Amino acid sequence: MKSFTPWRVVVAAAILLVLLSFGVVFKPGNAEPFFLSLPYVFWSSILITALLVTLTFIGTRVFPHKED
Amino acid sequence: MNTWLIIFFIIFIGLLVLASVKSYQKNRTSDEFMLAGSAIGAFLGFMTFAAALFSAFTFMGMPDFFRNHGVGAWIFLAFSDALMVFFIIWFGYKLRKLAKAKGFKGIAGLLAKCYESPWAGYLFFLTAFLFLIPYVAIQIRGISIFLNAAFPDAIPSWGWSAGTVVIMLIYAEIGGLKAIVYSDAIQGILLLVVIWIIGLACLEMSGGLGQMMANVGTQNPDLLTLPGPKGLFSTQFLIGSAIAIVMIPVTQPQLTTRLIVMKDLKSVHKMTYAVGLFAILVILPTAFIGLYGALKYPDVSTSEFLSSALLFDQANPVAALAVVGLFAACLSTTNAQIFALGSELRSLLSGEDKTVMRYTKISLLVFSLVVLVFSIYMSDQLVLLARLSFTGTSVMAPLVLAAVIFENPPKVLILTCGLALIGIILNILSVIPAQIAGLNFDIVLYMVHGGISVLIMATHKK
Repeated sequence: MKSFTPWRVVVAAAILLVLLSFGVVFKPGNAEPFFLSLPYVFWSSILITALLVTLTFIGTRVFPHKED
Repeated sequence: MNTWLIIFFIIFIGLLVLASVKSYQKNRTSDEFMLAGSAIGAFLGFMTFAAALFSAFTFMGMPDFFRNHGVGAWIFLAFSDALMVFFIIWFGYKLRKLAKAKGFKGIAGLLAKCYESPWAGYLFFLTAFLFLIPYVAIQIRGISIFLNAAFPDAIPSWGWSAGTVVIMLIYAEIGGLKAIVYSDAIQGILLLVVIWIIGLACLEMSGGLGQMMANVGTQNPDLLTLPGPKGLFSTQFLIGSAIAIVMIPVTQPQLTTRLIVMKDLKSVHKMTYAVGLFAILVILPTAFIGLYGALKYPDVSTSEFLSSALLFDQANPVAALAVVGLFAACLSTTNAQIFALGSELRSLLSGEDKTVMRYTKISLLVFSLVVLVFSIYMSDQLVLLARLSFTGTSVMAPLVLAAVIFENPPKVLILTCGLALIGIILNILSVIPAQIAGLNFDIVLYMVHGGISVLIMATHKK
């Protein structure tokens, strides 16, 4: 079971990120605060997308199964 | 522009011919023709997956989506794509394991074997046929809108569509899936380069990023927030879209097939994060083009906006490259989808290899003609039609997921997925309303269909 732990942590992080995104981050009607000239929804969603791709990269490294 | 156009077209067609000739083999089996011998490496796998995913709908639909509905379009596609590639880490492994154990010709055939019932295969094929046709037609429609606007007096709109279909059929017939994979690689690189050149030009013409956002904020501030000026990007819409997009590699055979024909799991895994990165890189400039359009062309039609922003406002070589890039994008995605439908049909056929291959090739021709007719009569709502396609095919997800999870998957899923398909068709025909108890129909469908499917799988004995 020990070898499964990193993969499960990555999966849990991805699920948490999605829940936070829809529950907290992606809220209607607010362009502030701006960051690098981008409105809030735009930069926060770009950041979360980048985090998900990073988690995908880590996920492929710690995925516990191999092909025969 | 015409001289540049001729130069770029000659180079592009030359590369296509090279790809077809390199892929051509005499006396090849139907597996070699339809599945490229299942030996695609990480780079080509990444390019072909990305090219099948990002197409005319990205090149043309996304700028128009940003122009009309604002920055929430990023969540609709880029965020959902990132979720999708994460899901592929696990799904790719399970699917390849199943395909290896049972043999693979197409998902429909694989499901028929897993469920020990041809109905599972027929249902999957029917759904793919019904909902891929509008998606393929989007590509053809997109290119014909664009070329018609660019050369209004040359030939009628349907002529551009027909020409595209003919070129696609010729080189697919010569080279098979291998040629399509090579052309996907060409298209993917071309798409990325062209869209960035145009995106940066649009940024510059808008006075830079800061000035662009400030002007959009003054002219139409709702474009900078959720749910956008027309209220499209509600949380329900975004969640529904995310589910449909995450399920694309599960239920859209042109992508499912690509997960299997790659040479090993390592290549599939490398492809996942590469496609995620590609999604970010390719969607970002579409936002610049779209917001440029929101400032300069807020009230014109889709075709007027696209022909202006992608063609007439650009330097001649860039405009010519845009035409070729869009044509390439349209061609490779269309090919991937038509070929996938052919693969699905082939997987349901039995008999001698030569006979099966002949029927498959005839089916490719028939599917192309259906797409051509559909593309002439469809609307210009490219992104929303793409979403309809994703949602439609996603109802088959429980059928595929149960097949990769269970050795003997629960047969009752054939019935429940069939009912979900009928539900979505009735919704399209407006027999079932777009909203039920304040919830969008797709969310209700996912809750009911997903809930029942989870219950069936949770209580199923392995």
